[in-house]
Amino acid sequence: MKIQRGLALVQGLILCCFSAMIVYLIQTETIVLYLSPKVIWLSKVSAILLFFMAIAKLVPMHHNHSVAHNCCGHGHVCASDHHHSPKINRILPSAIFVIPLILGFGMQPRVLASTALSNSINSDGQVPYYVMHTPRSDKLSSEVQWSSASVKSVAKDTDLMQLYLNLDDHPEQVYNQHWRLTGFVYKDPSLAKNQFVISRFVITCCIVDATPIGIIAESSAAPNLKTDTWVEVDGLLQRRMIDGAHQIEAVQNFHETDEGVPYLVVTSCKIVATPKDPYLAPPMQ
Amino acid sequence: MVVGSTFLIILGTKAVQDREVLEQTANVATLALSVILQALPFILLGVLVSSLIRYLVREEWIAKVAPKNAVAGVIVGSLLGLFIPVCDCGVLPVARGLFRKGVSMPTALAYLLTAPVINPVVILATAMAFQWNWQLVSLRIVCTFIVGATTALLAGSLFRSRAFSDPEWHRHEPRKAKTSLHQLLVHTGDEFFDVGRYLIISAFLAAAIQIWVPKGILLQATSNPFMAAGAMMFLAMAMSLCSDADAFVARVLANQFPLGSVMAFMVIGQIIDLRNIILFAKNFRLSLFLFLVVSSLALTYGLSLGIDFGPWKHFFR
Repeated sequence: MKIQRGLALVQGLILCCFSAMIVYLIQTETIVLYLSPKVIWLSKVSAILLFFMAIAKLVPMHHNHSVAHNCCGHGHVCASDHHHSPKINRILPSAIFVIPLILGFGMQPRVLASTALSNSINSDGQVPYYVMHTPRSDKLSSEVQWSSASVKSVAKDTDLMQLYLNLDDHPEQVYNQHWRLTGFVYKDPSLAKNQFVISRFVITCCIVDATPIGIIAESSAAPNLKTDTWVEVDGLLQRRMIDGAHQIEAVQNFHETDEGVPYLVVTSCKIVATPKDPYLAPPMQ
Repeated sequence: MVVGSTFLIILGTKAVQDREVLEQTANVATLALSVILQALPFILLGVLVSSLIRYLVREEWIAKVAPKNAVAGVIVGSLLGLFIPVCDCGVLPVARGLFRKGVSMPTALAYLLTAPVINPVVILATAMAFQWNWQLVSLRIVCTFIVGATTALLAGSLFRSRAFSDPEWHRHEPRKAKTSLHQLLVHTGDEFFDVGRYLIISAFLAAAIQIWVPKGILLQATSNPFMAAGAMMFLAMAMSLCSDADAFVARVLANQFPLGSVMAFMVIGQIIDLRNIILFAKNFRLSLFLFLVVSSLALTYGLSLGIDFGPWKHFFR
């Protein structure tokens, strides 16, 4: 009975920590680095449920005779290894629950970048996935600012997903317009020196299903931009055939058409810090 | 457990070698935690529903409602997901709870194999991902039904219900005069710890594969339907996507792959994947476990080729 009580306490504590971890992740807003915003409410519900489960585990069960016999709280535990139960064997399976807790509280989550992109599901297998580096957020403060005098109109703020949605339905509202986009730089070997892909990941549920989308950007600053740098670019959206574009999964996911691929003639480009919410949500969610 | 710890040791030794690997290990940890966080609500739903079944459903009701005929039982089991919707993270405790209440083994298995796809949420998600192409959605449902129901039916005729190795399945359910919320929650907690540990190990396994196994090789097999189906099924099992999300990934893959293999991806991924395979292995006798795996793999592969070579091919595009 003593061991049972100890096990219940350990489990109750773990449940409590799980609940606290979810609250912590939501409070620090790091949860968007793990989950799509549309499923976060589910995590909130689980935090509440876990908390009540923890209380139920921590509070000792009333052992009046009939209830104790029927349910006995830890029914299957005492039924299955009543006779030979070294203490460690009972506690050990619960120990594995500590690993996600340590990660949740202790780890700075990585933001998916080109490493994941080159190994994402649409890859051609041309780029070895291990050759690229993930971004170091502390090095992103410098600015490469340059502008073109010919630009009159003001660039409209948007994100890649909104552009994506309008490319098919309202091409006239999208092409030959100035846009301001944020994304990370991906350099594909099949592109020219002055081109890069401005890219984002789309997350449906969690980052395992991340799908990259992106458009090709042409800029004289391109050679100076490092892969995985987050940039904010202004530019004019146009469309033409570009060699090698069909090999780039991000671009291909973004738009496939016979009339060429959309590309952005960059007028200004500035390096920004990794956004707090680096992932986009799919449409209609 | 052994697999998990060996894996962690390998991770550990690899990690100290250089920075690059260290960075990748951090990526694996991020992915794994992401999978765990995403699966958590669904696991909780599964164990909660299982506990509710334990305390609220009476065996007499099941005996009255459940069909005696095995075929009818399997059909009912396959459609049960529409009323008890849980995804593949939480389906096992629910199936186990139903079995304990006297549902026949083929019915419980049919529910276990098909409920992750044949449920309202996933049907809606699939429809969204494929731009409300209902032919494709129905194809997914029908394929899952064929694979799940056939496997369950065959398993029912080949194995006795003792083939569930876990004593959990056979525990006698005592009648209770009344149950308290406290008992319900404690039992939910017990089931959570029982199911959750395997899902945690599997999440790390899936995350490691995601980072360290290049998928490029698999994706070169796009032109040949025989190869494509195999590659896509492997991909589905290795990625262990949630049933809400896999249709969106399948939509991207559909750009390059034949329809049959995309369908195979969406069918097998919810029946067997890295996230639940350890759970299955722990819950069934080895023979039944192997049968479930082989049967569903073979049926899915066959269906996939059937879709690509059948006369109805043009109907869907």
